[in-house]
Amino acid sequence: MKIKVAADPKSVLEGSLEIANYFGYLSGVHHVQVDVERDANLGNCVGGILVDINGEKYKVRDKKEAAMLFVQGVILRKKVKDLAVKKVLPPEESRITPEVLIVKRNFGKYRDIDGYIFLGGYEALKKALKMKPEEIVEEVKNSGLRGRGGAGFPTGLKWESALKEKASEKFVVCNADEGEPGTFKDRMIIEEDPHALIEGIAISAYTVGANKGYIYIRGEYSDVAENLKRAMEEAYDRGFLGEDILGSGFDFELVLRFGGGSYIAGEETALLESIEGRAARSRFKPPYPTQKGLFGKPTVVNNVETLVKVPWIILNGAEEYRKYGTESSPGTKLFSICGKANKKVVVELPLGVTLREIVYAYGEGIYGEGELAMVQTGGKAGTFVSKEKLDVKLDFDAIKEGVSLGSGAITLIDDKSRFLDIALNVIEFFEHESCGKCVPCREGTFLVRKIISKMVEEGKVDCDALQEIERIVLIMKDSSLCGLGQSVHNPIISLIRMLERGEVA
Amino acid sequence: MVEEKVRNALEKAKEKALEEKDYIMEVVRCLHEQFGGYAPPEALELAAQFLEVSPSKLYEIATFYSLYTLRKEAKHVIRVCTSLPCHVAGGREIIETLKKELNIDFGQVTPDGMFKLEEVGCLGRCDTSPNMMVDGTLYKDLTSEKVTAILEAYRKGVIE
Ligand SMILES: Cc1cc2nc3c(=O)[nH]c(=O)nc-3n(C[C@H](O)[C@H](O)[C@H](O)COP(=O)(O)O)c2cc1C
Ligand code: SF4
Ligand code: FES
Repeated sequence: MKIKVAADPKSVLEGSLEIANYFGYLSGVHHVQVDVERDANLGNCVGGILVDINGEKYKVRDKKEAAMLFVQGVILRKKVKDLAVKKVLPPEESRITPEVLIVKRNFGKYRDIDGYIFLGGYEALKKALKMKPEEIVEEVKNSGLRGRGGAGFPTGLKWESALKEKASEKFVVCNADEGEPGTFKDRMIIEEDPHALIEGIAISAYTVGANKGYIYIRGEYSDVAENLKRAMEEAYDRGFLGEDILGSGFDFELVLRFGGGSYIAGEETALLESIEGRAARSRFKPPYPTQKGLFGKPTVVNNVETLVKVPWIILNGAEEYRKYGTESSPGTKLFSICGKANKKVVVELPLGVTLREIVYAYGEGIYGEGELAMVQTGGKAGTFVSKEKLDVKLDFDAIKEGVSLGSGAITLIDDKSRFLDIALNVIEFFEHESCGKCVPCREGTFLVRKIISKMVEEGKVDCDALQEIERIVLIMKDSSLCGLGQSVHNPIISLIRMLERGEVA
Repeated sequence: MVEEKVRNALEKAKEKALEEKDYIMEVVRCLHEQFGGYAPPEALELAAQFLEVSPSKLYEIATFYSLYTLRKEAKHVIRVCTSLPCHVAGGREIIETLKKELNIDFGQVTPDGMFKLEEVGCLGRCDTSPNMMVDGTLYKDLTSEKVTAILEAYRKGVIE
């Protein structure tokens, strides 16, 4: 028996792939052999997903109706009058934003440095070494590239300020600490294209005038780091790292350092503390790392994804990069789709793509019985977005509408999850990871966790307590020393708003 | 014995030094490798002596970072991810199963000294949620049945 599910763009954005997957799930649960086909030419209908069973057309609005259709139409082989559809519309032409492969350009394409070179690898480094550092800064500035580690700071400006510093020594640091829950894109890059990362780091070092660099990778990635270590050895052997790179007279030593299992070590100044051999506790800013960073010297810290974009920009030019994305947020972004998503993958899409496209066209909705209730964007420090707001365009400006881009983590959450359960999960994380250096964050996370724990014990939400929580996280926002304490209000307040609107129970 | 291991650790850590004191973290990591998952106080003291730094520098690292520890508290350390992506994708049940099977809470050690249970933030493998790590080995796409089988394998010594 065959079930066809509409898969034209309109249907996909309304969750038809999720329904198709659900039919697969039902056939497993009921032990019935059925063929589920996603048909882009089936057409669609108003207010639901068009489904075809043996030539009969039905409209399904949610998983409950899909289950009913499955039992009556497939198992009992009856005609299901309640769900029958009279009018079938032609398939929708409107497009779903396709993936653009800039960071993912070499994924799955090479094994060793020869393969990378065959694909055009290290050409950008060769080109860069013939350019003036100021020219590279200009190109990167023109591209509008913004940091992909969460803060979105313009990369060209950061490099320019480090370049302008006069110092006997400068450093570059690649931030591969990737600790933001729901984020696994940097791991993918290190697994799939370590050489592009090395090339990007070498270009950043040449640009700002650094002869030494570190890759700081989280301790939990020690297996992944083996791939990176091998790539670094290859790069040293071929003269892309080390002394007098490609006869340019530029020396650059790059080494790997491991984190010890600490989320806050991903914050750039805490990371520098860690390399210097101390507990990862954030420093006061200013001075910024570009002025006084590692060992007091000008230091550029960049995220893995940021750096991997650089060789592409050097080779293809700023203008080409700006063809993708929006005016304020040019280019592409990696999104890691996870949680209850049917497909947990890393996708690369132009900024400005809607959350709906990511959730339904790429994540294929929620698996299992439940329905999508909300999405958390940007990692644990990011915002909860209700399913009513999926049409928001994701870029660095989305935060104005209360949706954070952050690290690009997209966590799908089903309607079985309860407000108190999620809130406790979130605050426990921050309480645990707070480095304890400043009072607002140390005490604030503790207090909020205590209030939520109490509500969990009593099994009910207390409105006065919620107000108190809001007050505390807003104080933390204004008075905490670093981004950890400053961003706890993002998840907490967005979640409280959803509760108030009745979008989570 | 301890001295030899400390010397080995220092040598390995120094290989990758770019600066005078940029490899202290590396020293503590290499000590964990040498001693099989922990860095005992006498090793830290000795390493500090060789490095000519105050022992408190090494203690600071060995106690602040969650992957490091001064004592071998159990034969195997189970680190289960409690972050939201794993949590909503079946992680709640995995944690229940672990606590029930081991009959301990987070931070505790089983009476036979076999397992310690720890909660950790996202392991960066949310494409295979729910996940846990046992002594550095990743176990993914977990179900309660899988967890039971994995624990059994460690108990019987099938996995060392
Ligand atoms: C609590 C906290 C954790 C962070 N974790 C990371 C991380 O794991 N990886 C990362 O690249 N940036 C992280 N950041 C951002 C860094 O501080 C910094 O902005 C970034 O590495 C700069 O690189 P970019 O400009 O290329 O994004 C974190 C920030 C905060 C406040
Ligand atoms: S805000 Fe939190 S994590 Fe940041 S310095 Fe203060 S205590 Fe540490
Ligand atoms: S949330 Fe568990 S591995 Fe990322």
